[in-house]
Amino acid sequence: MSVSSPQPTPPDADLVARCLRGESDAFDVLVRRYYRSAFAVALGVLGNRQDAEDVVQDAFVKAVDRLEDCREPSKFVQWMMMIVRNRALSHRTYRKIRETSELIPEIAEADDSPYIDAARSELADTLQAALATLSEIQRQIVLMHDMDGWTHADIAESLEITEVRSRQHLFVARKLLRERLGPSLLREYSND
Amino acid sequence: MIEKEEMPNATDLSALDPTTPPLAFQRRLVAVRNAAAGALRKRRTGTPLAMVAHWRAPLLAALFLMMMMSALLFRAVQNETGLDAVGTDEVADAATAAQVLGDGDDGSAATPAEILLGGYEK
Repeated sequence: MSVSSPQPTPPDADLVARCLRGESDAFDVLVRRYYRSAFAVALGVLGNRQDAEDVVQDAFVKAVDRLEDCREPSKFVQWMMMIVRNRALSHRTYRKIRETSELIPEIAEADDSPYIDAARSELADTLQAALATLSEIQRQIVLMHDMDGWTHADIAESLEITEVRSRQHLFVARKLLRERLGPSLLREYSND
Repeated sequence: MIEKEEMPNATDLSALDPTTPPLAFQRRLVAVRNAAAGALRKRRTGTPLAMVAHWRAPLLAALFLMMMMSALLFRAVQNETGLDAVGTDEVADAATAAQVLGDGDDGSAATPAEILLGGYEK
């Protein structure tokens, strides 16, 4: 899912082979390459940036641990995103239980916020709040497509839906976000 | 490989992009790297069994070499001392030696059967 480059170099299969030998440099490249994708998937499921970051980190560690299970190293990204999604779903279940029991107080996100710039952080909060009003599948699709540049074919494969359905969800999601955020946050690439 | 798609009218979600700003992303990468360091180290060193498996070929080669050297050394010592190869001859020699020792006796020694039957008196 290296959206920035259709043919990333070095190939994923090589990096996976090197990771199997414990080469941390290769692991770093994979993390850099797929962090945003993993984050988009996790945020789509969880709707919370801090939780999504935790899940992404956890998923990468799990991936290293179980790298032998990646039967097709050239398809590392699909395998990796499956781990991210599963970890995110587990985390959401855990979060629901935690919120219900109210035994553990919610950690204030602002304290550990990685966002240095206050304005950016505020904007991110606004976006997060707007995304939270979408359904989970709408949120996932708009994040995958608009933040990480996935194609509808890839989204459809990942979420096990049709491409048409993916387009429909994206259309509705954008419409809802536009209503909540206003046109200022819309990006017209043709004007770039 | 997932390919990039044109994004007309895409919502600008760049404020949520975890890869920016670069410094914050670097911190996230370091956190992931540190979290995975143990698993990577384990892969480098491996389990004891994996280490043995990894070194089995050199170990077998060394063992073979030692066996060859021992055999050559043994052969050299044999040639120097003029001894024959160890084999059935040595066993036969040992058996004969016992017999010779027995023959050295005057023949009056009692057999175990004679002792048991009480038919032997010196």
